[in-house]
Amino acid sequence: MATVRVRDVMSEAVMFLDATQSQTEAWNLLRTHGVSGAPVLNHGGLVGVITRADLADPRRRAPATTGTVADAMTRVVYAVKASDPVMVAVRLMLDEEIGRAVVINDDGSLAGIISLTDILRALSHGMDLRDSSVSGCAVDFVDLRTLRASVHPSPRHQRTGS
Amino acid sequence: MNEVLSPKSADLTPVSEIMSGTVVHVKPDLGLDALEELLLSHSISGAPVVDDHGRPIGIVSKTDLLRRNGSATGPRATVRDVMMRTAYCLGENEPIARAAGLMAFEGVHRVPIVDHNGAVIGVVSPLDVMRWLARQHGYPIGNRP
Repeated sequence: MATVRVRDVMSEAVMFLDATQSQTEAWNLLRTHGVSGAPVLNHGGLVGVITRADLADPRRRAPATTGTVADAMTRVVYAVKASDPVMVAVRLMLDEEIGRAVVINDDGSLAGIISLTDILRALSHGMDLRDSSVSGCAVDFVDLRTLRASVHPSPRHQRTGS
Repeated sequence: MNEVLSPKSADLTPVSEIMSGTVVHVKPDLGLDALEELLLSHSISGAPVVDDHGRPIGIVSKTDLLRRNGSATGPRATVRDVMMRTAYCLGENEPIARAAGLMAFEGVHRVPIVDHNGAVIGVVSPLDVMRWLARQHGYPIGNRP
């Protein structure tokens, strides 16, 4: 049985937000793109992740117009590799109580985002997410400092093949 | 793990097995300040809105609180003014796969689960499905955090 991998269910990153954007602008952009969260860049480097729930959280919500994305974003960035089994992402999300993780290619470039919604969609399609390749947890740690050079807001990133 | 791993299909497992049974639900006439306090004190992001018979008539979440500042609502605004009126809900015997589909495709983050009388008896969230999935694969995940 083939193991379903992160790349099989993730969403490609189609939008990024800038740390200096206003929270109102970020909210509107997330809504327009129909996504619940997006990676946040600052000077081309990945500095966090922001979600609609972050923007709605009264504990993070800044005074009406002055708040920036940086004020409300989550600064800890969790990442999985596109080649990881989906169950690695499931376990990461449960352990860290997060709803999404950044996905990177083996060469360190940004591949997309995997969210709870992506996994739910796979389940509802009847995908068998069992991981036949590894027993237990196999999480690689990624040095996010290497992402700086390879993350750019505009073009889609090439996949690293199967 | 001692038990033999025999993952059950999401098509065959009823949502009642994974739902969160103790549900915080609210009435439509609750004030928004009270709602905010309730959500924060229970560390939840939303709750079903029910009528006098306990039947779901909507869902209200932290994101709906943002609408409090809109022109349509005043200082005395209540849950009714900001809630999402369509409550997608599922019967307790419906399979997990249906709940997963509802949440993925309708963009809802919590699905009220109702008994045969239509009254809310639980809620299923994406994390409930993830925990079930993890347990199916032998990961040591508690029932509740």
